[in-house]
Amino acid sequence: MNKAEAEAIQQILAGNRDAYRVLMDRHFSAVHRIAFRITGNQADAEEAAQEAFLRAYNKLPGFRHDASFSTWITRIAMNTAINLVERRNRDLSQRGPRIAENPSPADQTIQMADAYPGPERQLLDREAATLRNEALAALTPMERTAFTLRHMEDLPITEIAAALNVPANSAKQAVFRAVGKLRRSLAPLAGGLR
Amino acid sequence: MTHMTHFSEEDLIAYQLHESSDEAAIQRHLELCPECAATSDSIAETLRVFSSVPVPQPNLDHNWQRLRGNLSVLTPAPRRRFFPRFLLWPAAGLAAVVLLLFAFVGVHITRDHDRIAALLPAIERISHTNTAGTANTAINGHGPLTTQPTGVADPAMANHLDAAERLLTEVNHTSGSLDPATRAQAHELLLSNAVYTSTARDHGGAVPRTDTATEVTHAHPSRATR
Repeated sequence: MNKAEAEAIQQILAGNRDAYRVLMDRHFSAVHRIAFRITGNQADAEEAAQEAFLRAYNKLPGFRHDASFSTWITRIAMNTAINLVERRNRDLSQRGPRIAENPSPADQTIQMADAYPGPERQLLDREAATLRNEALAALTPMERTAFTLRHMEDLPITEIAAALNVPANSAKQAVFRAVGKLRRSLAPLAGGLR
Repeated sequence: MTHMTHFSEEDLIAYQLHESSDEAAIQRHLELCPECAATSDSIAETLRVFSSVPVPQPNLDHNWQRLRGNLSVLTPAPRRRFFPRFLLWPAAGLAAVVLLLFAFVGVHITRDHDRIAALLPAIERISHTNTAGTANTAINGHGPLTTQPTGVADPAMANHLDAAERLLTEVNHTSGSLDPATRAQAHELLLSNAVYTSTARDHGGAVPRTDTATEVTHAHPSRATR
């Protein structure tokens, strides 16, 4: 943790709430990015990031000053986002309307190169996005977290495992399972499994 | 016809994610096996589809304003407990070991106590100070060997009994082998006992067994042989 962050924490613990803005300016975007990867939507990502920063703030009196605030807040954010996804999954009413409950057959989803996306292309793109979101939503929170952080954020397996509090091999297996599931989910879009 | 072993989907996923420990072998196999190559391409396409999801940028000011309203004024945490939590179980284990050690040592000391306590009636008969049958606590508990002033008329006898009492008390509180001075004192007491016994027999009186305590103490292998 650098000097500016350490000083900010000292000021916060002395009663200056506004000093927390220093930490938020430095880390909120990264935390939000990870939360977005886990939750899959902007509103939940912001909610998870907010909650993570609030939790971290309330735990600051017990924060070890030799630890990294970045690593600490990232772990809190990951857990918060995973918990939010699990809450959402339990509460079916939170699920948004599905654009395509029955995806089109594979032979109707062949993508053609087109410089100007017409109505048909837009429909196909929307359907592809829906399939993609549904495929991600079908993963368990751990699979989704491990996959998105490994593949999209390029985090090493060891770091993901530490944040998820699981052995490295478990995190790796979660990534492999996620890729396998996503591949099968995308079969209609890609023209079937080869 | 040669038999070709295919790689599993998991192996190919690991290969595409650069998590495989045998990347070169998989690559060689993919050049020869169209089936595995197709699966590998399908995995690569899946990864490509999911690598292009953009992340929107959050509005920092808006989020700060929302967060700021929920922040309470903090004060530094009180000093941490003297005993860190991570040391709790090791300390409990150490305490258990110490208790077991005390119990083990206590059993061995009690065995010595029992031997010495067996000698008490003889001493009490000589001193005649415990005629009421009260328990003597010098060995099994605390306090002097006699609870009343010695009522023996012969001062020499009283001194002898006092010396025996001190010796037994000292033995009771000594761990390990006795030092040479104590052993010499025990020798002297035994000699005095022998003289007393002989004198009493010469005078035709009953011979109290005053020598028992020091004889046993002197002969105790763990105390006297080293």
